[in-house]
Amino acid sequence: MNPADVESTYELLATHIDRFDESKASVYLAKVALLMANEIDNMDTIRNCIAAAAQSMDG
Amino acid sequence: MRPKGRTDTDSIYFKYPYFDGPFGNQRTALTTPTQVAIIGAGPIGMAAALSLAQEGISSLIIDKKSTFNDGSRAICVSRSSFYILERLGAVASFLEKSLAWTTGRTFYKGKQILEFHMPDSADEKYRPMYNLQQQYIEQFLWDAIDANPLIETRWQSQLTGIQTTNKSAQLTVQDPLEQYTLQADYVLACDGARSTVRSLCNHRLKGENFEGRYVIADIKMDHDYPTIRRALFDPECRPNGTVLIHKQPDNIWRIDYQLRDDESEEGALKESAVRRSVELVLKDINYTGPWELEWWSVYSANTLALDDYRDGPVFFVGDSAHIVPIFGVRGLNNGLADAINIGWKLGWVLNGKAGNALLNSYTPERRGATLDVFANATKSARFMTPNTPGWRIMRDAALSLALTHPFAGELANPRQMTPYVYADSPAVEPSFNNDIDNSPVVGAVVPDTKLDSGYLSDQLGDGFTVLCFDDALAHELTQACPKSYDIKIVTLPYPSSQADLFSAQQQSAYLIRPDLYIAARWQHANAKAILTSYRKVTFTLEDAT
Repeated sequence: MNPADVESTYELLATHIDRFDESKASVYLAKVALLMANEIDNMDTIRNCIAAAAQSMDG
Repeated sequence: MRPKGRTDTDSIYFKYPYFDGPFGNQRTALTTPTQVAIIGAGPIGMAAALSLAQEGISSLIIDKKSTFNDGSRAICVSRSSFYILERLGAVASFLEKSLAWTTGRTFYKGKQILEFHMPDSADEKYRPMYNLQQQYIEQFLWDAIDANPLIETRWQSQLTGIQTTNKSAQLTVQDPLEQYTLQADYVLACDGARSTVRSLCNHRLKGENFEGRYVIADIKMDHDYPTIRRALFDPECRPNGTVLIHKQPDNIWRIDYQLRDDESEEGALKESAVRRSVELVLKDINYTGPWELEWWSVYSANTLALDDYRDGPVFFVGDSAHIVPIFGVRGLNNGLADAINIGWKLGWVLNGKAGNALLNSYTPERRGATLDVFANATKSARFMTPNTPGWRIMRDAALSLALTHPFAGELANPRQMTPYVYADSPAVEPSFNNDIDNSPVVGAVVPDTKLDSGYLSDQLGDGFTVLCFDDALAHELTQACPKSYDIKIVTLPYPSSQADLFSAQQQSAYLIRPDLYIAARWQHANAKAILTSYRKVTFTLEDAT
């Protein structure tokens, strides 16, 4: 992914999260994750992404 | 519970029989020792008695009630249970009365997000699921019990005490006329979730309670909808809650609805509250006609089990050993599988066809099945009543996403029960040839298949069956098999689609137990190997040398 696309993803998520109140934002992000997982269709990649996100929360 | 003015068994469509306590001649033999005492005349106790009777073993059933259990309770009977009922000689009335179904529909906010179909084909003798009220289940089993001279039933007889040694149990029984004691070599505790035997023996169920509580209500209405399980998530009638709707025979409909955290059980069980809640559900499904309230009750989703299903001469069977959440219809079906498992094993031990050690396989097989049910049921329960923020967020995301993306709807598929595989049981033979691709594994239920006339299951013996594909092997086995061995040999054509189902070569063979589980299999079988396996899984190896 090129830096411009990473930035676009970043901005798109930020503006969309702000459209929902905090409780709905979690459900929204969960839907994004399910849709992206369905597109990626590779369980190793998906598992790694989920774990990497959790790890970076701990750090 | 029933509407005001009606007693527990005052049903609008079913006539509950009344059973006297022991009287007349029956009283002269009250204290005569019995080989097997069965505590509880519910569906599980009756199935266990019929299973023993099939092995020629007599039993005594004791029940404190004077009639069947009140209310429709467990209403979904699975395909695997129909095979059990067939072997108990009771399946005909079940087939005639019950409603078969294969399809479920799931709705979110009133819109359908999933339609699922359970596996079914022309090779299957029975449909995946049948709906039938529990009082009919008990009636049909009772009809078979009543006609069986090997089974004595004492109604209005309550177990009040039990003292056990390794060899037998001393039971104290109170009936309307007196208290007496009698001895039993074995006791089958089939007395349900609030088992008296379990508390008298000081055993406790262990496990988890889930948060969701449901009211289950039966109503009679002339509602034009096929026998399809409907699950309503977040419907208008129960915002954020879940509703299940099942059709039953006699125009009776089962409606389960989840209680909100702020609804007290006491308030929710009031007749006026039940009527109001049902009325709202009916509005949601566009039913505007008249309806009658028949019966209601409440349940919560638990996964609880005993650590050991056996305590000396006592075996715990059905709900006395385990309580499972009812989503996924595993309570009755799991209990029936327990009943036939202990039934044939105890029968074979008592009639000398198997060694005592066979009984030690009951707990690993059936507790294993319970733990498997827990894993599946926990999945369903988390979807129906998510109990942490994580499960709730993902569930809500999946449901609303499913409105536009069918892949997310699949997460709402309850994936109904498939029988547990007894892979690690001492009563099956580890498979030496794991290279039989795609073939049914040892410890699994034997698959059924259509033959030229009827089904493979029609051909299986009452005892063990050897399934082979070669006349020469069948002949060799017939010559070598001692007369005392309860083995039927069934030869299927080779090559054939049936042989393919078993990934069989001409020399392949399967050894099948009386409960239709595969005990052993070979890619290249011979009579000696088959007979050795029979002796191993019946624990008769030493006697047979």
